[in-house]
Amino acid sequence: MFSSGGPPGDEDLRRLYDATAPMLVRVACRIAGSEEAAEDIVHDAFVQIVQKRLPFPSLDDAKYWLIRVVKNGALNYAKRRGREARAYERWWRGERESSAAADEGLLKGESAEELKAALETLPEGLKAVLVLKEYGGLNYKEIGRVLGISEGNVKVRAFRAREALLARLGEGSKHVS
Amino acid sequence: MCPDRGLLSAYADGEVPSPWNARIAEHVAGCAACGSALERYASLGRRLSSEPLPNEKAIVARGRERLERELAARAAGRTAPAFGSLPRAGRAWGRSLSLPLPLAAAAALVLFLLAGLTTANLLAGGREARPALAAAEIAPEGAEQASMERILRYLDSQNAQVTLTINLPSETDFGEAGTPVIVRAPKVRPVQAAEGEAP
Repeated sequence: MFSSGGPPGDEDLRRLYDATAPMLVRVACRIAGSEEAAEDIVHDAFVQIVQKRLPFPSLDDAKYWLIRVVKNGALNYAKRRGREARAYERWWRGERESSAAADEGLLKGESAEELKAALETLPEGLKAVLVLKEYGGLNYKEIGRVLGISEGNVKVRAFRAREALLARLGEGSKHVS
Repeated sequence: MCPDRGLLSAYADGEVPSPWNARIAEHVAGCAACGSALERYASLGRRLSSEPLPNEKAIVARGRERLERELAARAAGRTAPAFGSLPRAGRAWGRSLSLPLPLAAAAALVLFLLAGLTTANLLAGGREARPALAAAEIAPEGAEQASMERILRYLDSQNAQVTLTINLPSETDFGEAGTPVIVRAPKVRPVQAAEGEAP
């Protein structure tokens, strides 16, 4: 695979797609917050490889390139859509919390929705690390390679992202050691 | 003493290297606070990744079809249409070329300039046939090669009452930029040599 080191051939691309597409779709979807957008973002990344005949030394290089491009595309989409959407979400969550606070069961049932909303409110750098970790299934080293930061930085960001997320969900640790 | 939360977060991700890995496991087993913190991180991960993406398979399958269309389009040597069916293969010659107007104008300009340059080069080739510059002899005391110093000395001795013509090398060749080659490579013997012969 990619033995030539040149632009990947048709078979290489099919293999690359099958190996990475599910993960890319998940990552794009979580960051962009839209399935339609995720589909287009992933497709656009592959189109670039096909049409520009981008050369990759190995399957891994292609994979990291794809993750980076998809991550950036999804972040851009989220940013474009961001300001107004965030305003709506804030209002929506506030509304729900006040009306549904009495009903514990309802709150539990919607916890997935709540988690997603909380994830959306995280700063970009933290969100990207957590999404790549939990949805992309990448390890710290790989995340560092995709984001262009050190492994140590990934570790710190993963921790901060979790703490921020738990705090937003009202489940944060009571004390800071 | 408890490990800090950052370390627990890394531990939850399986990113703590070997000797510490076991020590943390041992500590967490006996420490309620760390145990619950670790559980919070782990459950967050579980909840995130278990959150369903119901259309994932469909999206991936659609993407695969779109990829196939792109590959077919590449094989056919053209980019895929944004919508519609597979492009017909083998039509690379028959299709018409459409360019936006500014691009067409730019292309025309480039062609025009290229044509101009080529013509200029052809004309420059013809310039070589031009006759060498007019020449006459300067023969101070019969010397064929004259240094400027000797010429001046000669003129001085003749009280400047002499008609002088300087013979330029016959292969005078003016370069493309207008720099005469003679300036760069005068066909004159070094002064020392000429002086050395004289006495």
